[in-house]
Amino acid sequence: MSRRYDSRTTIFSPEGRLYQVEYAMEAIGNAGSAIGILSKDGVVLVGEKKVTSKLLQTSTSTEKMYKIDDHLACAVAGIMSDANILINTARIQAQRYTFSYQEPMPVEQLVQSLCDTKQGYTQFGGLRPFGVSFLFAGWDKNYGFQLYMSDPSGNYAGWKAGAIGANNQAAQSMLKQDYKDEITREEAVQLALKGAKQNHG
Amino acid sequence: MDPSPYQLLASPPSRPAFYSAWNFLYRNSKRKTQRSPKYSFMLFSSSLASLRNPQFSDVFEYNGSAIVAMVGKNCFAIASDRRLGVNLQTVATDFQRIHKIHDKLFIGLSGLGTDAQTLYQRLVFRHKLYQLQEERDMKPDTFANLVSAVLYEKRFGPYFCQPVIAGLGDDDKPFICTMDSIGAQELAKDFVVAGSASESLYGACEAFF
Repeated sequence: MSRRYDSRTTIFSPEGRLYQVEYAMEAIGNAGSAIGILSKDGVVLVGEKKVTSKLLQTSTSTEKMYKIDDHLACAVAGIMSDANILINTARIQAQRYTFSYQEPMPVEQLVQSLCDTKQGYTQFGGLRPFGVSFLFAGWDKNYGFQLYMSDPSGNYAGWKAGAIGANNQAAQSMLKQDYKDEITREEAVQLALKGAKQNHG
Repeated sequence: MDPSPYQLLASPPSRPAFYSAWNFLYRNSKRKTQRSPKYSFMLFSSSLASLRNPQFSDVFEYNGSAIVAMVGKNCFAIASDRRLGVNLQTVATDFQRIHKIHDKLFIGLSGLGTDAQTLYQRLVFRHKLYQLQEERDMKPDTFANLVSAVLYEKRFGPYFCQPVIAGLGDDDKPFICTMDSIGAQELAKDFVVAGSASESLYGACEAFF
């Protein structure tokens, strides 16, 4: 019955859902996971690279972590080709800001700008949404270290700890239990690795 | 190629979008209005300009500049003056004309101060994207070609700058070059000069090199 409302991104279902966006999130649920944790003196990002074949050049591939600018990086979960487009867009947006204002782009502004792009694909144009979730980690002089999570709908929020990709619910509940507000960077690294190991094993 | 500050959002996709970096920037770079012909005229009639408006006898000499780069054994040197003038008056004595692109590449920009600053900012934009995408620094000869292309884009309304590029390429081999304001490269093995004092610098370099 809900199949009737599937085929276009640009219409709501009677229950007020956007099915294409939700299906995009399903696609991400099959991808390698990534965990981000915010600490007092840094943000930790851990990504799980899924090795599907031993013939793959794992040393040269950067399928998980990308640098957006000198003060900003992100971890990716989902369809890699979609992610590449968005990362390119994010890099150009960051450089545009620096060109105009001669200072690094604030983290939230970049996340918001990228999410505005993603939102466009859920409202007009008739194109499908991007099947990617991001964890953005960055620093700016107004708010210090920050961690943001965004999804195909274009929603984003600031998080103290977050997980995306496969088993993200389990990882998220584990982080909720073990995260402390005054966590140090080293403890955050250990916690993130624990989460990644739990996902994998 | 002009990243417009008014276009902070990507344009909404009304047709299948092919988002490569170059394509994205090129699409936004096309001029939206007609360029008035008087700007091209200014380039070719500096002598007539001095009759119309003595303040702008030569736009390249308005702020004053002197830049020189020389090659040594597995090394290079690049130097500039620090004076910023408005015709004959000195306005600053700490104006920076040479900028670092990365540890092994420097660019000195002579000519009109505002164009030198803006051109540098645009080159930083392009180089940063290159670094992020290729995960390595740009080689000096590649960078020289980039500068040449950026200058030629403004062929009929140019930046009033003459860049001097100096860096270490593969195996730390020194590379220097200069170009005119519309991107014609002059590669040299010994030294290059640019700026309002270029004639004096040519003499000094020939004597001392």
